[in-house]
Amino acid sequence: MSSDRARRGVRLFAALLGLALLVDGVLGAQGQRRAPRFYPDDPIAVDDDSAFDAGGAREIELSETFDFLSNTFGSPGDAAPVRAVNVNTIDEVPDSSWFTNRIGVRDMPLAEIRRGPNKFERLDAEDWIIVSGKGPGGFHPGFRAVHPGDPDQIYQLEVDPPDHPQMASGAEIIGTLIYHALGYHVVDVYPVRIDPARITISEKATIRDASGRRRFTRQDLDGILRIAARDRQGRVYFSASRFEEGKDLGHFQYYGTRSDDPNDIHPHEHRRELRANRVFSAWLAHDDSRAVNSLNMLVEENGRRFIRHYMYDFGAILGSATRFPDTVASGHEYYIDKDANLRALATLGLRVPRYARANYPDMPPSAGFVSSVAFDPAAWKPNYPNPAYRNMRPDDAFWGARLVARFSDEIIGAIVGAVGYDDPRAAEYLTRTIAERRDKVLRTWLPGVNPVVDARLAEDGTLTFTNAAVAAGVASQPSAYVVNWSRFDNDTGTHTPVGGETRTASPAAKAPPALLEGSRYIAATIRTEHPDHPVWNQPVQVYFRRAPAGWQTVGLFRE
Amino acid sequence: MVAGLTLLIMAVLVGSAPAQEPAPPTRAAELRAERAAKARTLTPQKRHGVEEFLFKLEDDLLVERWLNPPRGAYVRLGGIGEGAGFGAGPGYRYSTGLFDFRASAAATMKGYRIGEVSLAFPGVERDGLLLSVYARRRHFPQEDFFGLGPESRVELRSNFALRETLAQATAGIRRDRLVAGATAGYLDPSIGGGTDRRMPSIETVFTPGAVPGLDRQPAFAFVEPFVEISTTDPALNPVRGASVRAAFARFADRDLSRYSFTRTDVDARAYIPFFHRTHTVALRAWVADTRPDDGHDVPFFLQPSLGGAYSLRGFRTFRFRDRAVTLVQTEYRWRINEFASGALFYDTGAVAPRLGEIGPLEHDYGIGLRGGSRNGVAFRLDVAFGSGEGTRILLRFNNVF
Repeated sequence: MSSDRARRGVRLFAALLGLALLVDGVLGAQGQRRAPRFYPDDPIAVDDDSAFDAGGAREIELSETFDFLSNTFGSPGDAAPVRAVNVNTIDEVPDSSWFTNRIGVRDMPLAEIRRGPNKFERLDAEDWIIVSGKGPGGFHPGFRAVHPGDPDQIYQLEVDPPDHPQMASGAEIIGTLIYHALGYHVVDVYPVRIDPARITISEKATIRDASGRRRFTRQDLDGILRIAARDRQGRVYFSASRFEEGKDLGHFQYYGTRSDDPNDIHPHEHRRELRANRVFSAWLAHDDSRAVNSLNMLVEENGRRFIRHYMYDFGAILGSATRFPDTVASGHEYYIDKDANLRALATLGLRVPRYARANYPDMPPSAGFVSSVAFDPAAWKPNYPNPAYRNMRPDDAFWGARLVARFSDEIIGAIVGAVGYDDPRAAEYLTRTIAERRDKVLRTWLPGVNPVVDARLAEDGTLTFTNAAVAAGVASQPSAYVVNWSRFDNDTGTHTPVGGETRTASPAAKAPPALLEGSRYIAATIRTEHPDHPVWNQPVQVYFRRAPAGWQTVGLFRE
Repeated sequence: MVAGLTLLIMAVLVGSAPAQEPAPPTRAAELRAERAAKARTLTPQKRHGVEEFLFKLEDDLLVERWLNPPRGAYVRLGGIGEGAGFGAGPGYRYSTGLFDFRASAAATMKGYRIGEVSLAFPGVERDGLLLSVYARRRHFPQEDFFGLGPESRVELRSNFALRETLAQATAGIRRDRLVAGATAGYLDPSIGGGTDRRMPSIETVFTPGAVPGLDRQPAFAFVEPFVEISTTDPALNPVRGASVRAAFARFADRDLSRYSFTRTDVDARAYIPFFHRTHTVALRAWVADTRPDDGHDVPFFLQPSLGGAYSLRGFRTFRFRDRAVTLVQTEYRWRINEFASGALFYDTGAVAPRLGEIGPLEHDYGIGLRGGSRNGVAFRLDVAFGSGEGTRILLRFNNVF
């Protein structure tokens, strides 16, 4: 009896165990079912990274020395050669708290570009009241002040070196306007000229030095004005940066994520707009593009508190190092650059770097030291390594270069004109130099991938696309475009080839009629044949989804 | 048993539970779910370890606070004198935009001691009138002496102790790149036996007849007009430009009527950059000539000298002394990186009783490594050869010129 019960028990156990495994297998299989390649809302235009309350985030400043040391002698962040993680399915960067597509997606009127982020058309304030010093950090002489017309709004005012009027302030304006047009968040900056006699000091104004906090005195102001450039009327040139609304939370790193920000889920070293900042930094000689020149602001909009990320402090771009011009090595070597340093040491300086042997043009004092001569975008370096720049792949650089291509000579001229250089040679030189550096950037990075963009499929099955390198004038027409078609199953991820290979001389092709019938998704693989650009043979896959209004482009992959 | 089996099944089902969540229906929902998951695991953003320490150093300006604060006590490091060795001591500074007051004292392991106090108007460099007063008391017990003249011999190395009280005032004017003014003061030196036991004391090797000022030392009143023009750039670690300083000093013996003299100094420097300031040829020429009044002499410890980290680097400090010196230094400097540069150098010079009697020149050459920035040389390691008196390795915390 007991042995029967025992046998029944074993059988029941076996049956239940089998049932349990079956249930687990079924559910597990469901759980592991692959996600569709495209969701209904792909490609997303906005990444809503203000969705969760970030009010618990606290201010944390970075150590400049640690940032330098850790990036120079370490390799922080994930260096895996992966595709940028925050791009959408058509290889673009959706709007977010980091980036807002502007010049890349629409024609910006010149007036809008010249206005940039600025709240006001102009800052006409003549009287200023100093409310504090700049603080112990920072290399650029200046102070914080308000003007009577807006006494609650604090500005940070910074001067130009005496021998280089408008060099740093001009760089600040140009960098702000270009980065704003590119799509980054930047703070308001205005060029102002102030009669020193119109500057007063608040009785409550303080400054912090190595001995602690004390009153800001007339001698402190004199010390700043003594090393400040002036115009012919004796007015001092300043850049006036308007303090943003919100709470300053310090800087963002170019790697990792903030552990106290629920919205910050993409490792910064894999964010495309940070990787591709290397392109913009190279273009504008922004060798000071590092974490301490960024800004995190806790802002509240529509009842949501979230962190907005800013690019900040452009006073050291182009030919400026704020208090003096850049050196010739700027952009060519890191501060500590092992190979170059060992070469210099071992050869007693007799092996002179190419950049030091180049013949540079005479540069107006207001331009500092910046040139397109010896500028090699691919070899360009900031002051010290940047993890996001390290991770930049050709597709990131291509994305950045496409944005750079949007800056015509006219736009560049308008941006430089916003500075109001007293020396017309400076305006002319900088406009020309920025344009020449732009052209080098485009020649370097637009042909770096198969440059197929803007693929569209018409209702009649006509595929059209653009060759961005050809369109920008940095490459000749290719020999041929080779297109292969397939039906795409979004649920399983499988491609079913339809029709044969299509070769075309122009960026257009006709989809096989059989493919158009009954297909929910269509894929086209495009290779480009060009004798000078073998990398263009790498296929670009574009995907179209049938939508009520026709075929919608939902995917573009440059694997 | 059934209960156990039920638990087993539940466990399997529970284990499968996460897999039951349907895939997010949209990309936005997928991203939202990822953020929701992070929102449940937030932790404060912190600086750790080394980063926190470095941040404190920067934010509180601790290095400046400890070593050179605008107001308050500080630790004085070095700056005592050539050959004194490493020294340290307390200091106090009170600086405003109007004036700069400093008082400090320091001592070294070799027994060198110094106390200094100064008050300068204005406190920082600017155009206009300059006024400063300065006083010091120092005791340097192991100053090297090898004899006077170009023929002095290294085997006769001896040492002496120098005690000195100095008080002086300087008035002048600064205008752009020009500084001109005059210093007047009172100097009260005394000489004694050296304390360095590795060599004899001066009086055991040399006689007062051969070394003026060895037996008795008067107090001096002195006045020194000077003019200086500089176009160097950057001012504290030049790679371009030139500077000249000329001074004419009158020292009047206040006690003995034996040691009154005049001294003329001209120190010219030029920095010639090439390869866009990545390389520089730096040149220095220094001439000093002291002339005693009739029937007087120049005390040996106030005679110009050559040798050491700032002149003939292949020779010991104060290796050559006489009433006149000439020195030419040449350096080829090249940029290694933003913080370091290399240098090949050649020094040549000689001493003589009179400038017109300068004879065969001593010389040396060497190689150096410098660390710093445009704000100055923080350290300098020079290795000098070719003097015939051995290889000299010099570590200093400022520039040679």
